[in-house]
Amino acid sequence: MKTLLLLMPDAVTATTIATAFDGYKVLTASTAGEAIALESSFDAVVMELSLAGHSGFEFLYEFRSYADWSDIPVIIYSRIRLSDETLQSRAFTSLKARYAYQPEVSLAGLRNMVEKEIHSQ
Amino acid sequence: MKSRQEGSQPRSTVGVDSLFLLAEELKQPLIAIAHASEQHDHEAARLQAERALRTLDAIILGEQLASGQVELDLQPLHIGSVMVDVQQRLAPALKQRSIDAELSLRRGLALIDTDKRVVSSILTSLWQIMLSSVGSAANVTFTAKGYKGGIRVAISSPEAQLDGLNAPRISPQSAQPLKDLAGSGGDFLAATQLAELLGTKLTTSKRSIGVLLPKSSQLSLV
Repeated sequence: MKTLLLLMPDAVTATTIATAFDGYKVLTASTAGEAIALESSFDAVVMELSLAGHSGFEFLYEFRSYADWSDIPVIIYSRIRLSDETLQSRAFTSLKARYAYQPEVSLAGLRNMVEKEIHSQ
Repeated sequence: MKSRQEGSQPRSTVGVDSLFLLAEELKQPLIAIAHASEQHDHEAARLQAERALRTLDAIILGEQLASGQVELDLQPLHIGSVMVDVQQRLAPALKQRSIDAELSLRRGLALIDTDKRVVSSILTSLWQIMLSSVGSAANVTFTAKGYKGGIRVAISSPEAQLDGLNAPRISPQSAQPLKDLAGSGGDFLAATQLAELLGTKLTTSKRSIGVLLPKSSQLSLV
C-alpha cells in the first residue's frame, strides 16, 4: 500500500482530500513542523502553500534538503494561484514540485497526478 | 493648482486589501463544497461552487493589479488560443446546461499585445454573465472579429437580455445592482475592472456582451 503525506492546514480540506485516496495509507500534518517531525516514510506529498508558521516554500526547501526525501514526489495543491513566472523560475524548478491550483483541479485530477508521479519514480 | 495625486481619489489601501483577503478567504469553503460535491456526485453543486471560484479569481486578479501587487504582463497573443482555453474550461458548465456553444474565429486575426491571464479572466466572466442571462439549451456564439483598432471578442445569444448592463447604472446600495442580471453582478463588475486595467472597455447590447482588445502598437509597426 502506498503512503501519502497530506500537509493541509485545514482539517476539513484534509479529510475531504484523504477520501479521494482510497487504497492509500494517508498521513496528515497541519503544519510544516508536524510534517518534518514525522518519522514514517511516504511515497508522495500533497501540500498547501499557505501554512501557519513556516510557509509551504520554507517547508519544501527544508524537505528537499534531507537526502531520503530529496526525490519524493511533491504536489502543491493550493488555493493560492502561482503565476507562470513563479512556476518557470529556477527557484521553483529546483524544488522539483508539481503544482495544481485547487479551484481548477478536481480530486480525481489530483489523484491522477499523484499516481503518475509515483509511477514515474 | 491641485497635484495629480490630490485631484484623484485613490481607493483606500485597507479597502483593496480587505476585498482581496475576503475573496481569498471565501475560496476555502467553496473548494470544500466543490470537493464534497465531487465525492458525492452532486455535479450541480460542484459547478455552482466552481463558478463562484472563477468569479473570486477575477476579483482577486483585479485587486492585485489595481494595488500594484501584480503587473500586467503584455505579450503577443493570438486571441483564438485564449478563447479555446476558456470554452474548454467552461465545458462542464455548458454541458450541464445543454448550451450549444459555437466558436467563431475570423481568419487572419492579428496578434494583440495583451495580458493573457487578464484576457482569459475577462472572457470567463463574460461567459458567466451570459450563462446567467440565458436558459438551458440556449444557442450561444463566441466570436472574434477584427476592427480598425484591434479585435472585438463577443459572446452572443438570441435569448440573452443584456441591455441593462451598464457600469454607470450600477446601484451599489442594492443587493441586485444590475437591473437585468440576477445576483450580485460580481462577474460584470470584475470584468469591467479588468477591462479598465487593460485600458479598454466592455461592449454590451441586448443580445451580446464583449470586450474590445486593442492591437499592439508595437506589432503594428512591423
